[in-house]
Amino acid sequence: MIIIKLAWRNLWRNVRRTLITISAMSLALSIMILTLSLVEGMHRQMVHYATRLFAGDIQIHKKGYFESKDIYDYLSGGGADTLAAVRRPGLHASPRLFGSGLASSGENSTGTILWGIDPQQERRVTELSSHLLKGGFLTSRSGKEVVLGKMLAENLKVDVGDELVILTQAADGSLGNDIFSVRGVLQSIGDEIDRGAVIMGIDELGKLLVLPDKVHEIAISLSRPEMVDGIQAQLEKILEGKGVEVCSWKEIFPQIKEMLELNQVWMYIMLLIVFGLASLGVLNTMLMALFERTREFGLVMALGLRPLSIVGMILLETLLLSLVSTVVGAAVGIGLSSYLAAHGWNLSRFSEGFSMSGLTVSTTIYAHLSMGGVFASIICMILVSLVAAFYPAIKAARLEPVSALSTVG
Amino acid sequence: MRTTATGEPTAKEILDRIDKMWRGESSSGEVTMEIVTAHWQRSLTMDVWSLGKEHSLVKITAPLKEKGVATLKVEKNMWNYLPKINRVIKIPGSMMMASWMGSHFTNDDLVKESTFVDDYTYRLSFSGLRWGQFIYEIECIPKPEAAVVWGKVVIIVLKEDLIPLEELFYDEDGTLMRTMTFSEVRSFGRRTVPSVTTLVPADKPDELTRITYNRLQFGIDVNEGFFSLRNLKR
Repeated sequence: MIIIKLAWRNLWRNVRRTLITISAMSLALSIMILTLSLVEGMHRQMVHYATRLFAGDIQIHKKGYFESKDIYDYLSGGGADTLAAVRRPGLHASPRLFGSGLASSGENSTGTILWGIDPQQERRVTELSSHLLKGGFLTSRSGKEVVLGKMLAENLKVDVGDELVILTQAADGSLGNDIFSVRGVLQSIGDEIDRGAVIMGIDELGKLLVLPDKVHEIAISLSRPEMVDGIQAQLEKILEGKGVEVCSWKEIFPQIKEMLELNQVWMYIMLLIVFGLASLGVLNTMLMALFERTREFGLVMALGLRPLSIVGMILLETLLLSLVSTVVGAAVGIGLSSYLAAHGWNLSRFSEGFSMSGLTVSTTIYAHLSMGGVFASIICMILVSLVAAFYPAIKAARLEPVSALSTVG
Repeated sequence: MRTTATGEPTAKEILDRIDKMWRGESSSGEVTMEIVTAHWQRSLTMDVWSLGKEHSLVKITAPLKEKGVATLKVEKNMWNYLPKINRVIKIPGSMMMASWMGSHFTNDDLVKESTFVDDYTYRLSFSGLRWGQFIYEIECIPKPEAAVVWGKVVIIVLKEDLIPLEELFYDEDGTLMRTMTFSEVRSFGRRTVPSVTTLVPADKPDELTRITYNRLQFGIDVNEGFFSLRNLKR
């Protein structure tokens, strides 16, 4: 107990120097915690964008469709067999049908991707319906109503309530064509949807394409998205031999997956640099203290204190130093992170919203504080400081009491 | 016809004949188009009119489901009329390479106004016996400024009557994209032309689109006013 008290007092013999070191170390720790939570928040946002806007966590297609996008690579019977096979708690599935066609209004016409969805199921799988710019969303699997991407609506010069003609090559070779009314326009959420999506009820598109009760894609969202790899493997096992393919968002957006992995590496490099700098601060403080206290160390050694105890004393001082820094740094880091988690960090001053892998990314970053990250940062900093203190500690332990006593200090 | 010293026609003369073969000053006729794909096959019958290379009008007469569907082409513009919904749709430039009426012909095939003589550089690449027939083979490379989607077109004509047997279309990398063969040579009025054209896409050799002229008449009495959106709907 006495030794802790002694170490604590030693620490405050040079108040200014100790305070500067504590500031440096707590700054390093708080920056680390803040950066970790910002990056984690950004990652979660990216994955959220990738999966919740329209892709889903997992998609199931007939074997080959993901590559070919061939309208004849469909699941029959409304995909009922597959839907039944994957049913389980914490998983929502929604069937989709796709086609391509020409959308036309007045003098304007343009090539589009036709989406057929089941609005009731889709609502539970993606947030498509909540990203409306104006108008309303689809309500049923059939009905001559469509929801359009924002740029598509602009290019066609149509608004909610206007008429839209769709022309397509149906699966039987005939010329599918019909008139729809525009029910809603989506916000800008991704290039593909923005520029070309015409979304309608799945049964309606089935009629237009002469693909009744056919399904091209089953989009799945998980209530625990972090379990995506395990569930993908499970589904693959269940559906083995059924002629279908199960892919996750990591295969749908490989660029995002790679970006997240690369970010992880950068995080480790940054961690190394920040804590490296902090440890230099510790090293400097303890070395200075050692030079100041050479006479003192000589004295206590002459009085019979063993070198090991000297090492223990210096390491204990360092430990106390880093514990104080930890409390301050963690408090600041967690405080800032929590603030940015609640209010977000608006980067719109720096950029006007950007698009990545065809996904429109919000300019506001919300931090995500993970206790694991905080804990790892704290442990890391304490360890690094102790390692840095070893050199001064051993140097002190090796002092010759006689020559140390004669040092002018 | 001007000929070379040996009495053989020049490449230019052969191509000029081909350019003009289908394009009389004006024409009308009836065509049957058979389409065979991996998933379906169907046959459409249509009436066609044309005036020069700028104007044409096509109206489907059978089957019933498509009856009245029509395509009007005036210069570089193209419209489709859909009787079921009573609407006219203008085909945008971005859809020019899309299929026309589900066939292996593209919208661009109908709209294009290029001629071999004006838009390509050409050379006689072979002359002699092939497939038991005496033929000429002419290789045509589009001029850089020409609005042509192909990288190269090879035309094979029968030496005897200079009527084409085959046209091979290559992309810019020199890959064969499609083969057009001509057969059933018939006389329509004073002209003798192959009445059947068969198009086979190179990547799907089991598919084809075959156009057969049932009737064809050249030098009919139409003017530009005939090729109007009003007539498209009628």
